[in-house]
Order: sequence, then structure tokens, then C-alpha cells
Amino acid sequence: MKILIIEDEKELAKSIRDYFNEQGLVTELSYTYNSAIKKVNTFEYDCLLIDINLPDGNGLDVIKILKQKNFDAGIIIVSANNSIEDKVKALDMGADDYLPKPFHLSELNARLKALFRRKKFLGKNEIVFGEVILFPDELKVLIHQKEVEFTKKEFDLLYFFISNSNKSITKEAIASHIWGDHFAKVSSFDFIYSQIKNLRKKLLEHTGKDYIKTIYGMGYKFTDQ
Amino acid sequence: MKLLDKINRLYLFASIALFTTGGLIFYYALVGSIEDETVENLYKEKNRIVAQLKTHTTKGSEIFALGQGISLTNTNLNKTQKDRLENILFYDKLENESIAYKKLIFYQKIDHRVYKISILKSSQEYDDFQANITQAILLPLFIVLTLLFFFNKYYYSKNIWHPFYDLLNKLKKFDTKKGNVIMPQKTGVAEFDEFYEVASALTQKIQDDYSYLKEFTENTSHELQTPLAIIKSKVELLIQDETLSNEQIIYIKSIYNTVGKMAKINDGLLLLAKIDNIENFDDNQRIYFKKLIEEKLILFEDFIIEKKISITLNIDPHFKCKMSLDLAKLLLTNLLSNAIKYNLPANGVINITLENNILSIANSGKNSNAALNKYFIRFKKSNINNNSVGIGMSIVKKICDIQKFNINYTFSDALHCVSITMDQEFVKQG
Repeated sequence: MKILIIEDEKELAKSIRDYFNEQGLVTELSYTYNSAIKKVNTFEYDCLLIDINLPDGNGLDVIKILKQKNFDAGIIIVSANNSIEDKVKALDMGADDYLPKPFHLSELNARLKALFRRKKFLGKNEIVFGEVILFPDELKVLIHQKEVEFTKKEFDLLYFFISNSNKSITKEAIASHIWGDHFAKVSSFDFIYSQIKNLRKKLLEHTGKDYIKTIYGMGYKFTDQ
Repeated sequence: MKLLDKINRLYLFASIALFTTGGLIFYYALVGSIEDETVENLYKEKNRIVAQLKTHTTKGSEIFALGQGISLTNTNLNKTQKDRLENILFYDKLENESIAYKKLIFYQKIDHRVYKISILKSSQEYDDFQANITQAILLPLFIVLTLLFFFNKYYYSKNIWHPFYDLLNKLKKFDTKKGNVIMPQKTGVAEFDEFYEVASALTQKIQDDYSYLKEFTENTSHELQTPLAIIKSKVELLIQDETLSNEQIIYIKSIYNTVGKMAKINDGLLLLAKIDNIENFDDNQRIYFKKLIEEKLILFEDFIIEKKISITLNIDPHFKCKMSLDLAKLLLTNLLSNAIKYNLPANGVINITLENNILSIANSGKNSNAALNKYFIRFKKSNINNNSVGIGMSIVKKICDIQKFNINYTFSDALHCVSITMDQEFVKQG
């Protein structure tokens, strides 16, 4: 997997790179529009992460070039202008996803994984973590080849955890992934605990393992280590 | 009162005053000149009689045939006296009116004898003349003035004042969101041309300021969101480190929470600034509040269950309101999240009522001593929930201001209640 990160904020670009590299993804950075154009014209990427506001151009123009070249790369747009028009425009031009800043790296990672799956880069539609197999399109979970019932929220939670497996995830990232803006309005974590408690109980019941590790005061890690 | 009506009214009063005084002056001048004329005629008659008397001194018979209304009497006076004019009124029984006469009395010495001669002349013959003149001049004048009045009223307002009303209309419709800046226009009237120029400059300035502010808001968002995103991302990378001690994690958590709070404050402030500019809604758009409230409650379901809050709904299902969907959603999101956030830790209640255009959301919660009018400020300073940035109620207030809804807060029976009266103008029942 080769990913081009087009982001003028160097520190943010590096954070994204580091987060992706840890998972064995190959990343390249472009801090300017012009360098991004050069790279896009020379190499092929599986996925591009594009910031709209670049100092020397508009990130959306990169999409145009990719479409002209008929590259079927996955495109995720990140933008600080959290406006509906921007989002609609980006998606209309052929972007696959739109993520407003500021975002959680775990959220970006989950979106990227979902994009890979949709684009069938990995050649399969399901997500596997040990004995747990997720079918996101059907909201189906198989554990030891047996279907296990999960509520929609539990499924989302499990999907998010597996997308970010072996990564520490903050409670905020989990909450805003599952509950969106409404979480920010209520800002209470109590409801997360009960959802995680239920998920943990079900997984423990069917796998005999506790995959969800608590990181003191911060969040959780889904891991088999 | 319209300017034109005011002018017309003034014009009408001035016309009446001028017409009355002018008429009176005209009348008295006419009467005066008729009198002068009568007197002049009397003197002409006198001169004629005197001349006649001089040439026919002895022919008394002729003297008696001097004419109607002339009398000659012998006096015992030695010398002549001064001429005398008298006004006499005769009552005419047939015509049933008094007739004014002028009488000139003079003395003439004929053959050493002084005669008193009086000439009587009616000014009646001029009266008809006087009436005719009045009718011929004053009446048409009055008609012309009246016609002018209506001409002013209708023609002026339709034609001469047209550019003015046109501009006024354009100014009313001016909207920074539409960017319909007024263009200078030649109207043929210097004042209106100038007015157009000023309005054009003014609206252009407003539009420029608005664009600048909008750009500034967007830039601020970009400038602040990016550093916040960087800090958050670094914290996320940092916690991947397995070797961190619990103490270190607590510090990191504190940094992370503070950044999260800053991001939320930034979001809230930007939203407050942007709220005015939320895109214009379709005039035919009607928001069914029942549906929207139910949708929002589903989104908040987990929080409601977690806090074991019991919800009572009493909503008029037919109620719909003319407003932007985005604003309506924002309003309900903030009201409901507020009612959940500031509720009791467990087993609280939320009563949502929508009847007769009044939406009220009451929730249990910590007792309040705050002055009612401080409510919307109170939440900014509230320490009930430290995670809150308390900007939600400011947003609610702002939306109500935009929609011209009346918002009220009460605290009774241990319930905090926010009531919003939807303005009748925006409400259609049925």
C-alpha cells in the first residue's frame, strides 16, 4: 500500500505518516501543491490524503489530474473548512471521503481501512482479527465461523477497534466516531463505558479472550498481545 | 404618514388659507373699487348737473328734469357747504333684500340762492358684476387647485417619486448573502441620483465588510484548527508508547483534554459567528417539529439511557414552522443536549411540550439561584459540568434572536424550563 499525504502543515503530515508507518504502510509526503503534482505525474499511489488549502494551490485540483489520468486511487480529503459545500464539492469531484479538521488519527486510519476495503485493494470484503471476522456491508460478525449477534453500536465499536488494532485509542476518538457531533454536545463518557462493557462481555463469551485493554484514564487498545 | 401625503396635506392647508385670504382680499378690493366707481360716477353726475345749472340758470323746469334720483331743494343758507357722501340702505319688499345706495349731497349757488342737490345712486348694478367676477375667477381657480392636488398625489408618486420608492425597495431587499449590491442609476433627479450613489457606496461597503468577515472567520477556523489537530495527533502518537508510566499518562490526558476543550470552544465560537450566515432557506420550507424532535431523541438515546432519564413528550403533531432546517436542528440539538447535560446524575426527567406555538423543554437538575435574566450567561459560568464550554445556550439565544422567537427561562418545581414562543409570523398551523 502506497499512500501520498498532501498536507502543508508539516507536523500534522508527519503525525499521519508516523501513525501509518507503524502499520507497515508506505507513505510519502508533499507539503506543497506543486510537489504533489510532480509526484502524482511520476508515481502511482493506492491512496491520497489531500488537504484542500495548500499554500500554492487548491488540493481539489489534484483530484482533477488523477481523474484525467484515470488513476483509480482512493482519495480522502481533509479540510479545515468544515462546510457542507466543500464536502459536496469534494465528493462530486471524485473524492471517496471527506474528513474535517481536527480529526483523530484513529478516525483517519479507520476511514483509510474502510476505503481500502471498498476499493478491494486487499482483494477481500471482510476484516479478520484472529478468530473474529467482520462483514461491514452486512453488519455480520463470525466468531469461530459462528454468527454472533451484535447491536449496531457494538458492531461499529468492534469495527473501529479492529481497524485500529494494536493501537491506543482515546475515549474521545471512540465517542466521536460512534456518536458524532452529539457526543461533543453532551461530553460525558459514562455511556462509552457501558457500550465497551457489553462488547467486552460478548467477545469474552465467544472467544474466551479479553481483547480490549484499558489505558489508564486515556482510552483503550484492541490487541491480542 | 407618507412624505407625499404630508406635502399634499401641507399644500392643501396652505391652499385653503391662501385661497380664503386671497378671496377675501380680492372681494374687498372688488367691493372697494365698485364703491370708488360709484362715487366717481356720482361726482361726474354732479359736474354734469353743475354745468347744466350754469347754462340753464333760470329754467327751473329743466332743473327738475335732471334725472331719476336727483333732487334739488331750496335752502335758506347764505353760502354753500362742503360736499357730503352718505350710505343709505333701502329695503326692497319685492326682492326681500336690502339695497345699498350712495348719496352725494352738494350745494350750489344759483342766482344768489343756495340749492341743496342730492344724487342717489345704487351700487346694486355692480353686485351682479361682482358675483360674476367671483365666479369667473375664484371658482375655476379652486377647481384647478383641487385637480393639482390629486395630480400631485397620483402622478408624482407614480412618476417623479418612483426612483425613490424603487431604491427603498432595493434597500429593503439588500442581503449580504445574496450580494445584491445597489448600482448607481440615473433617475433624472439630482437628489435621487445622489441618493442612489450613496446607497450604492454604502451597500458595497457592507458587502465588502461582510465578505471580509466571512473570509476572516474561515481563516480563523483554518489557523486554529490546524495547530489543535497537530497537538491532538502528537498526543495520539505519544500514547502508543508502551513504556509510559501512569503518572505520565495523567499529564498527557490533561493536555489532551485541554486541547479538546479548546477545539470545542473554537468550534462553538465559529458557529456563533457563522450562524447569521446560515444559508437562506426556501420560503416554502416548513419544519415539522414533532419529527425533528423524535429524530434528535434517537441520536441522544444512548446518553438518555445511560443517565436513566425519563422523557415525557406532549407534542402537537401538526405544528410546523417556517425556518431553516439547519437552524431548527441546531436549536433542538442544543436545547436537548443542554437538558441532558445539566440533568441529575441519574433518574432525571425531561418534559418536552409543544402546544400553541410554544416549545418548552423542562429538565430536572441542580437547584438554581441564578437570576432568571442571567440564565443565558449563567451557563457560561456554570460549574455543574466542567467539561462543558457552555456555549450551547448562547447559540439557542442567537437562533431565537434571528428567528424573532421569544425565549424564556423559569425554574419551578425543581425543573429548569426553557420556553420558546415561535413568532406567529413564522408559524402556520394545520
